[in-house]
Amino acid sequence: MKKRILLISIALAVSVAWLPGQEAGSSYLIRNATIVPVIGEMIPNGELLIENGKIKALGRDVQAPPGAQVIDGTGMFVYPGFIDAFTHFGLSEIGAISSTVDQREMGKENPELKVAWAINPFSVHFGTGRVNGTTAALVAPSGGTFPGISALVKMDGWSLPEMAVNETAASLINFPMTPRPPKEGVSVQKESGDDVTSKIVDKIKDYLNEARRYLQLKKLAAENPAVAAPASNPKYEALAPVLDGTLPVIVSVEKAKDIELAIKFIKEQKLKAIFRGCVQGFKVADKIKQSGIPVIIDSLYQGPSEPEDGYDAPYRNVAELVRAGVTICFSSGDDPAFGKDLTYHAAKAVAFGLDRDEAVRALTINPAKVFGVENRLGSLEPGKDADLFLAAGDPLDARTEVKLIFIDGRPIDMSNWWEKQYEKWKNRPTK
Amino acid sequence: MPDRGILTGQSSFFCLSDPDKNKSLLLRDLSLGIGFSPPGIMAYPSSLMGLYAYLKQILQDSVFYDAGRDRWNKDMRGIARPDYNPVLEVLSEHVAGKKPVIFLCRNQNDIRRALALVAGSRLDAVICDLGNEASDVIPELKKAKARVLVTVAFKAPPSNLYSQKGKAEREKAEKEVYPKNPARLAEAGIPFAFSSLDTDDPKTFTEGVLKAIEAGLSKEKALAALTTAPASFFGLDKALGTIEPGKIANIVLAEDDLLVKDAKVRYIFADGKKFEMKEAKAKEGEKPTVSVSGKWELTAEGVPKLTVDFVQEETALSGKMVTPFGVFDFMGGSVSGNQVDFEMTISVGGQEIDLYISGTVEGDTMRGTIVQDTSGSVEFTAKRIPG
Amino acid sequence: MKRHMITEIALFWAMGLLLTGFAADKPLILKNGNIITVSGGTIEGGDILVQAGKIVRVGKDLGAPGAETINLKGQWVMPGIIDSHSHIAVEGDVNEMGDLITSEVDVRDVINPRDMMIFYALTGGVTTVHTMHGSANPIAGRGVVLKLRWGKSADELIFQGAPLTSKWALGENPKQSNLGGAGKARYPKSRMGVEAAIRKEFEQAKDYVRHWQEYEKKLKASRAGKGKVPAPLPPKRDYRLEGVADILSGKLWVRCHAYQSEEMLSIIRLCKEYGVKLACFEHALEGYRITNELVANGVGISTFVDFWAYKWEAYNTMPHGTALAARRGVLVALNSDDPERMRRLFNDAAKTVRFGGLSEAEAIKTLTINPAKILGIDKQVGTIEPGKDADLAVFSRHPLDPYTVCQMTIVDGTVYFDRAKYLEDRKKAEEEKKKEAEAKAPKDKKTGAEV
Repeated sequence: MKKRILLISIALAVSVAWLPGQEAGSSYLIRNATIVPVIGEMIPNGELLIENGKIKALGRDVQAPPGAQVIDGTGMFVYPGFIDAFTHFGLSEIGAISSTVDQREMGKENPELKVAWAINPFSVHFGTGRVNGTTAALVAPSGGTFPGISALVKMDGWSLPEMAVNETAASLINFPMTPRPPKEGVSVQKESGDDVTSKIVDKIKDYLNEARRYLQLKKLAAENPAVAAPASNPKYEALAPVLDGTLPVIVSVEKAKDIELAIKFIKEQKLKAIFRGCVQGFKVADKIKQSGIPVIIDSLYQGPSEPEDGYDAPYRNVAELVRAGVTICFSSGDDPAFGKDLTYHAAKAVAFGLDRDEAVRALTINPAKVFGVENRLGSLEPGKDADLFLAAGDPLDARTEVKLIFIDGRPIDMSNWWEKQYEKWKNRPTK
Repeated sequence: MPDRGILTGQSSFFCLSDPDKNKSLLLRDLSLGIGFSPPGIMAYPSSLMGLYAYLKQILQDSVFYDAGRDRWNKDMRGIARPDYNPVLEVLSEHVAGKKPVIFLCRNQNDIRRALALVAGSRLDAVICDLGNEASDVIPELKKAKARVLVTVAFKAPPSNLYSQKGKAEREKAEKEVYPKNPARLAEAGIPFAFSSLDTDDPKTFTEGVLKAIEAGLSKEKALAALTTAPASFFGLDKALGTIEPGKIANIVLAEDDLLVKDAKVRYIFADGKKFEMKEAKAKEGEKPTVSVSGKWELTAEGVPKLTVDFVQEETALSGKMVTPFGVFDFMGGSVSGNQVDFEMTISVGGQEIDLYISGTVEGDTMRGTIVQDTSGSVEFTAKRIPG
Repeated sequence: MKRHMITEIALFWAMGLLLTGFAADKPLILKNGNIITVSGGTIEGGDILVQAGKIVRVGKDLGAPGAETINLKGQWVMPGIIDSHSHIAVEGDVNEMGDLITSEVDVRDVINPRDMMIFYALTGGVTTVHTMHGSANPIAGRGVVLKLRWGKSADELIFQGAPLTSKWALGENPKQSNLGGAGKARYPKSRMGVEAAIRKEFEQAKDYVRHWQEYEKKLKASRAGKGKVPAPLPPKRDYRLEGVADILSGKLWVRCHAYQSEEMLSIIRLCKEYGVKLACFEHALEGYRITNELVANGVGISTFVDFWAYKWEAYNTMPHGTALAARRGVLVALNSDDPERMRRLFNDAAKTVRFGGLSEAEAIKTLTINPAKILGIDKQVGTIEPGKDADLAVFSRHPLDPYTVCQMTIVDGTVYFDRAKYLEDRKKAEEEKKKEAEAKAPKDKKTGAEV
């Protein structure tokens, strides 16, 4: 009974949203739902008002302005939209077809490249990636040592600039990795030697120092006409905000030794860093905590970095980090085709010891804070962007359907590449 | 013996007495080598399982060929004359058990495969235990009455469990488990002889034999494995293996015990020729330089066979690597002592992969590691391609 | 046993080899579990009596004289998961790239029982796998079903009584369209060529069988003629054609890797024409579009829920495909094709509930009785019923629950994976390591060397 009413309400909401000429000033009142604001207490039988793209109010007995669309949330849970802290949405469509892949550029040093130039906002993976409640994602480049600059984007919008929360959200450094066993588990090999790793780290340091010299010389030339300005170098220019700590830099690193090396490196270079990966972080959790560097957990569809870590290492790693006081965020990882699996990784971490509330924070307020957008995203609080969703149950449960998603206060067209096929093919007559 | 390919070729026995091979030849085309490493990625067979099926088929082909040729030779009328096939001609002697075959087994799985091929056939097989795992196959070796050639590099073989458990496990096994292999074979009464395959210089081979003794092999059995056993395996016991009147004068003279560390060998007689051993002038700290210029064939587990063409100018190293995905140049590598280091980027299906390669050169063999930028590393062995 | 050679650090790995000390013929009772029988609903707070590797009885308050007991404490038990598409425990390349048709090749020749991935599969509740060739050839070699009896020899892993399989492949992989020009050009380069290649080989195999039948006739005649007629020479044995002959005779069950609907329909027609036993399509990501044809011809599918978009032929698909096909009557098995996915197949099954609305009971079937049927082993495994093999997976919560963890995996009544013991052994090993490190440290302080 209730479900039918709900469906009608949602259908209404959706159809209203797509009427031509619809004003941005629409309001929606979600009623009688369990509201999980993340900041603040859960509100059973609660209400949430969306107005002009923002969360206007939430609680009990929220007054709806005239003309507000009412959405019956009976039996539903309302969560802030999840934020996927590391993806390649829009940069890759079909992995094997290189013309559809724009993830990495040639060469090792590309700190000036911006993914915002390359993201295809109409990629099929935005539509399929958000079905479990993801409303924003960090889209990053890959490859080399300095792959470029990532952008934080909403999972729906008319154009890339309209979708972007921050077109230059964070730079990246791919820290050299001492080898991990191949996935197939065939014999573990000798370590390539810490010599190889430290050689590469030295190269990175040299590169950053060259950038610093360039910037110093440029400054000097500006102040002193006798000094010739250096030839313009966009790569070093792009590193300026990284070097002065105003632009955070995501450092990808996995093994315990490498993490320690990276912490030292980050301290020396005075960078504002975010770790990504740290699958052996549990071994040096206290050091990571001390460093104050948050960690973006990669997809948990992986085995241990070293067999001795145990078959469950990537899973229990998350709880161990949190236990030590490290701030974590979840991400769906390198394959945009698995974007929707963000919640499954969070559930797996919970299965292996992570507190569920922590898991939800790691999908919401943590990434918002890490990327400096907590004034807009990451929780259900008045004044924040109305990025949220209604789920028919626990959103971390793969069996739960997310019924409706709002981004910037607009109900999103929930149809996508998959749904279109489903709608068609379920109607083929059986013989 | 030749050890590349599947039917690797015919081995011969030489007395190490004369640089002229005609003078030092003892026995020619003694036995056929059979290997389990597929030669390349795109030729048939490219996989181990394909290789095994290929072996079954070619042994079968040999039987069929023999039957056809015998029938033709007996009565040249009424049946089609079979085509001459040089490979099958040679193979037929081995298939009939007239000459032995040496199976180059990389691990215990290969040993079992080899014994399965031998069962029900007339093959006279010798098992070359490159993986030091023959002692895991003792019951089957006993049943097959197999002779074993034991190697002494004592490195963890492909597909072993220790390596999959971690670096610490593998190193421990290489120290404690594999060196026990010869002792355990001796205890079980499996006849074996030592082979220097995989230990390309005499020093490492000797150290290996000593490791085996340290791990429990008796000196008598070790000596037998260096003398009487290999002689009898290949039908040379009338001429070699013991110091007896009438036998070939192949004698080692040492100041004291031979099978000890830093044994002092003073004279070696080969074919009765005297060779005096002088002290090696090893200068500690001075690293000899090697020249790697030229073509090398590189093999690594899980990696298609690669050819590297090095150009070395003093310490600078450059060259190109030929892979199934294309030919890729590299520069800026270095050679220091016998250490080789270089890095390069290859492109596979549109993906760029950064590789860091470093290795150690001993004679015509290079061993080291290939590190791939994001996913792992693999140990490699490279052999210089002559000519 | 080699245990005296294995150190403390290795001990917690050796637990796989150590079993739990339960003798195979002593009765074992798994007490107080929520039993998902698959064949007869779920029994809450039930017991399973196991003996000599088989399930003897399923019910409540079971007892048997001299029985060992494992108290499940209300945890969930399901039949051991069967992964019908994997490549684990295979030594060397899983593809024979050198030729088009490689039916002479047999995966049983290269089973490596010491593949750590077997252990990893056990940690995910998997007890049986079908391991086979990759997809480089239109007709590849024989595949085999294995039970994950970790620690036993290659021969002991083989699932006795399971039909052998023949792996076929259609589409991009045998066309080698994604290898970027590596190697020499090899026929076929189009989907049309793939089907033509299969037909050609079938005809050659029929000729081969005919030649041998003629030879048998001549041999008989020669023997009857008592030497007057010379005995004929047998034709050359060709293992490749014998492999194809086994396909034509139905001895090998064909499993055909295919993505797109039109090639699947063509192969169904081809197999019908030649009387070939086509057991299932592998992947079949467009399978949900041809459910009528699949059901009419008794062909199952062994597929992923949501691994897609990695190449063109994996694009026209949806995670709902699995559930939709199942609801429309197709025999659907979920598979991994990857040792990492193998240990979370139960998580994948949960996705079919939301994508396509499959019931939880039907979702569990895609991991158990369905793959058993597709592999022809459903008389031995796939449900928890008296008489079947005691292959069981114990989970902390319902297997489809997002927070569930596999606790124990039992094959033929023997515990091959026990998470509690695994954790205990790991803790001990870590404490040993700590003690060793502490024992070293003070010494080094004396010499002044850095610890």
